Amino acid sequence: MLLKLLKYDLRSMWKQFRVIWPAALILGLVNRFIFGAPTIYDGSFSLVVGNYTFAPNGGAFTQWLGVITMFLFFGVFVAMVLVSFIFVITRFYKGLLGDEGYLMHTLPVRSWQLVLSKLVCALVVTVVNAIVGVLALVLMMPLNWTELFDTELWRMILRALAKHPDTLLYFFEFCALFLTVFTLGALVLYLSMSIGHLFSSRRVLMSVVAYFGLNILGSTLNNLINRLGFPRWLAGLPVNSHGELWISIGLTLIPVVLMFLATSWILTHKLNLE
Amino acid sequence: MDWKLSDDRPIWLQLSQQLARRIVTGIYPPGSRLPSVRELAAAAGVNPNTMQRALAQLEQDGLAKADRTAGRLVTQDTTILEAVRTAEAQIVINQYFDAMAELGYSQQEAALLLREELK
Amino acid sequence: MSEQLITCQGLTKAYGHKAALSGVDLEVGRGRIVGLLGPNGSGKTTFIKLLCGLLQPTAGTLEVAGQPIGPATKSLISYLPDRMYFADWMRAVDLFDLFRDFYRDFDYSKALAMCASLGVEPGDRLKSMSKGTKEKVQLALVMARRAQLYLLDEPIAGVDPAARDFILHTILTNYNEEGTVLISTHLIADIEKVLDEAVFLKAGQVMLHNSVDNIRENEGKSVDALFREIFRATPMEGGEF
Repeated sequence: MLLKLLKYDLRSMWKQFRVIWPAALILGLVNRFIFGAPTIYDGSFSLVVGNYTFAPNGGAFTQWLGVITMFLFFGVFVAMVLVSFIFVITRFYKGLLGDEGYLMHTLPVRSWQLVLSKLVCALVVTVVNAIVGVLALVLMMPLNWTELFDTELWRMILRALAKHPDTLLYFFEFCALFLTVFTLGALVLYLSMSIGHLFSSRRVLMSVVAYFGLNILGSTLNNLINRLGFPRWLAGLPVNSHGELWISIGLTLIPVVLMFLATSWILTHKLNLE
Repeated sequence: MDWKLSDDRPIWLQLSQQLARRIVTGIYPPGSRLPSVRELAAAAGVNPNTMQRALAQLEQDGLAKADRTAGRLVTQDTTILEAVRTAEAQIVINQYFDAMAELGYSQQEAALLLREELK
Repeated sequence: MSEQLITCQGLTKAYGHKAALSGVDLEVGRGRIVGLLGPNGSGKTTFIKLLCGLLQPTAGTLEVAGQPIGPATKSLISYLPDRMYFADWMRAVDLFDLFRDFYRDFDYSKALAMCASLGVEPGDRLKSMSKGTKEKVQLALVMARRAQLYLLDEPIAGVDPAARDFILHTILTNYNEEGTVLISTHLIADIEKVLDEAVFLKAGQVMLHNSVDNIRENEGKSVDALFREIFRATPMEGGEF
């Protein structure tokens, strides 16, 4: 049943993003042609489009273009984060607590399956968003693409990895931590909306209040744990920095599980679609 | 012949009367197969259970009988058909007298007027 | 299999201080078409939403086929809400796919056939359809299931008489005869002849539950006439009738 729900949610996601994602990549490409100035890779940059060869040289103009490019980098990044954020909220609010909820909550499934499906879908959107964002930046940057696939470059990376083999592990651990933290963020939003749903009126306002409430609660608990000497305790443990990362992930999972259960409980026992 | 349902009496009763009327007028000839409950119900725009009850009444009155292979057949018993026809006629006659009574005619006067009409 | 399809005892639903249903005791059997009749605000929609689990009762018990409301009862119930419930991107076929995935009793070819008789192209986006057409697609979706319990919330409100006949005809010719159809409406004259039973709701309480034939026999008038009589009389105490 969960897989069937995911199929539906991912389809719904695809319908929303099938324009945005290619558009972001194309925009990156277009920016490269317009602002394709050698700000980082000075001099070595040249691009051939048809019969035209772009080989701009340095100067005040290109520096100015470089600033714009940086703004665009930043813009793309903010846009992607914002889109993820809005997606997390709307898919849950409209899909489970709005009119579409009439369809989803009358399916023969359990509430936790509905929540999990939305959550997994939100994670997929975020990961793809990150990939698209990075790709758009790469496309936008005035790099010489042939150099990007230069075997010498990759050989260097491989050699570096051979020297410090746990770099790759760190990378995956940070990805896992990022996903866990993101899951926590999404669940705070879900739980806030579910708490708002408990009220018979002003549900949106109460959701916002609940969101701030949960965040304050979270940071208070965080402070409390720190004051109780958690960092010292962690430093005292006979683990390396990998272990510390995994402990952080594990500890983040505690509120994740609690909030997931709370959200599912509210949707099972307190659902009131009016 | 359309299905006409009035407000004051149970629907199944009206349906069985109209089915009987259809049988004696030959819309459903003797020995023929009656449409299925579903078809009749859909045509009359009524609940199949109601139509079922109306058909059960027809069976009880001897106008139709359940067939072994499914469905119902109209009776070929002429005495029953004739009796129902007479009963239907009686209803029409009573309606005439009722209407005339409303206009202030006694039964004798009403009968007289009818005889005048036939001359 | 329990004898009654719907059983509820002391069923109460309050929104804040206002009770939408108060102390409803009701039993509905299988294989019937039942009218849930009452003016606006009498608790019809609340009762239906409680049955399909979109609302949670404040007090009392509610069972469908002997089970409390949950995934098991949801798989038995085919629900037509009083609003559009699909996402913007969906086409009729997307809804059919969804129903085929989740409901084992969904008849895909029947849904397509119903679309054809409605003159609806299943590949068209629902959003671009007229309100009447969207309602018909939802009706096709709901009636293409061989459900134990059909919950139809105001299926004929706000449509013209021709569409009304079409909708009633669709319901009559497609529902599962072993299942029960519960139709909520305040337009009784139009659906009276398709009903087996009538349940009158007034201010959140059941005033009357009887077969349509019995009502006509006992009262010598149509359910519609009786309804008008009861709900014109103001104010009247609820409870026993």
